[in-house]
Amino acid sequence: MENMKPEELWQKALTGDQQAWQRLYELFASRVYQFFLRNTRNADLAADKTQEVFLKIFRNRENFRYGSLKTWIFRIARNLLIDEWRRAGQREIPSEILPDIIDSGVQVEESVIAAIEHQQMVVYIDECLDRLEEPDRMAVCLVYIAGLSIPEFAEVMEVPLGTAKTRVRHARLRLDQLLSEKIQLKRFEKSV
Amino acid sequence: MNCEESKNLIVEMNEADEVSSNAELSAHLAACSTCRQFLKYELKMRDGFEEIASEPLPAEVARKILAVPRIVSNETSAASPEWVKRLSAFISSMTFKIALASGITGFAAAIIFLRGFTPGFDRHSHPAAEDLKQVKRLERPLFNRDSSFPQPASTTTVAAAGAAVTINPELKKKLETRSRLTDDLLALKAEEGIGVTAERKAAVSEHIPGAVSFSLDENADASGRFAMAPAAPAAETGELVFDEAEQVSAESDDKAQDAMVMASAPKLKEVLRSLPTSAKSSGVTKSEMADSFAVSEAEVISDPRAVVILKFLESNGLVSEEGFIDLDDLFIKGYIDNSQRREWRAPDGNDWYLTRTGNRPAIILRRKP
Repeated sequence: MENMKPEELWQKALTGDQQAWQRLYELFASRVYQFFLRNTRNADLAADKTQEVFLKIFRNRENFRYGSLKTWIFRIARNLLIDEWRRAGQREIPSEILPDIIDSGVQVEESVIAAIEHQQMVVYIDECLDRLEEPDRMAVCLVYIAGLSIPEFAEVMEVPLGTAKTRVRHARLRLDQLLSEKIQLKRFEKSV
Repeated sequence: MNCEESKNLIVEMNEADEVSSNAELSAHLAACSTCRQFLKYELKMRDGFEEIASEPLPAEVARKILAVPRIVSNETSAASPEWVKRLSAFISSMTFKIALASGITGFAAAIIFLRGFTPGFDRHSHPAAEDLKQVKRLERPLFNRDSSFPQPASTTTVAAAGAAVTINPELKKKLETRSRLTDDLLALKAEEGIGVTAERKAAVSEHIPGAVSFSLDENADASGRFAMAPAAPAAETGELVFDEAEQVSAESDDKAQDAMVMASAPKLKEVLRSLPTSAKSSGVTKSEMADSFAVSEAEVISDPRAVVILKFLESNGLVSEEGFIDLDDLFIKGYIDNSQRREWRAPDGNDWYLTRTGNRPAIILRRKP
């Protein structure tokens, strides 16, 4: 069961194999939940939406015949998130046009990188995600939390591969800038 | 390949292992310290995201998601047309079962009746039919009593054989660990009552401040015993007196080293607490010993992974100099893969440190400078 592909697990789960379903849960549930949580900052909503994703894939099981299960799951998740933003009416729906961002050639000294603890990095990422624009945050979450490759990201976002690369690069540049600021600030605080 | 292309490839890679599989990128990284630095940053960042992605779900959500197949199947059955429901109710009812049983019995009776009274052919009185019955009886005996004929194994035998060959490897590992813990306990108890010599106490106090979690005593006595001492500085830990824990018998140096690294702080603490009350050979109670260990736990904590890392370094000829082990660097240079890098990551605040006690190399955890 450990080495089975998600699509094989899915076929087994459809026959009523609870172990296969459990394995699918282990593979995706946490990532889907974190995707919603980081994009909405609402734990209850994230929990509801995560359950909804899994209900949707099982209810619409006939619709998935080939391709990547992961891509299918996150396309549903992404659509639910956009629906939620629309329903809430508080946010602008992420624009397709990205503002220009200049690569400032973020460089952090090796000693500074080495000094960052694992947990510290997790905290920095968490804080920086909050400061990202919605399209950037969605891109970062889909690539680094959901674990999608760039082609998979393109499929989920329903955009050409070139556009997907540009979006991920844009999001990364912004995230790198924010992280770099955090790291340098921490370094300054330490030196003081 | 220039730095821009290199950075783009690093950002777009799916798995960190892709770095080593790309010869051009590897060559560039070997020559460019800026890109190596960027790769280290990238790896740290991805590890951070991975940590976020693996944060567990609330229990209630987990329970609901695991129940999704059941919920959906209930919905499906609830949404069936009325006639399907009635049909399924009728099929599962007692009336249907009785009717079905009667039908099958009647059909079987009809077959027997019709075959027994075939008009124009009296099978019981015809001599040819009698001969045929004899021949059939000889050719196809009802039960084969021949011992050479392969008999099916009984269920019990099959089950027993199955159990014998399918021992769960995880269970096996747990049993081995438990057995080792018992060995440690027995070894420590066997040492009970042996006092600490003045030389031994001096050896403890002479350790480098903030250094090794445990170290082999080179002045081990001739009987093959060696001492295991917490080497945290006295200024940080207070006066450490470690009689039982210091002396562990070992058959060989290799085994002793394994035991040293395996004796992680929590385990040793547990063992110390389990010692009998009489273990006060140097005037220190067992709880005092355990507590003094707890004070320095963060400093002296060791890890079984140290053995694995040391073996790895030895097999790759990387044990020449003392110092911190940079797993990221080993990964970038292609010595280890990404899973090993993650698996071997030292606990926060510490790093693996290659040290030497005499000529013997050892891996310990040391606070980051």
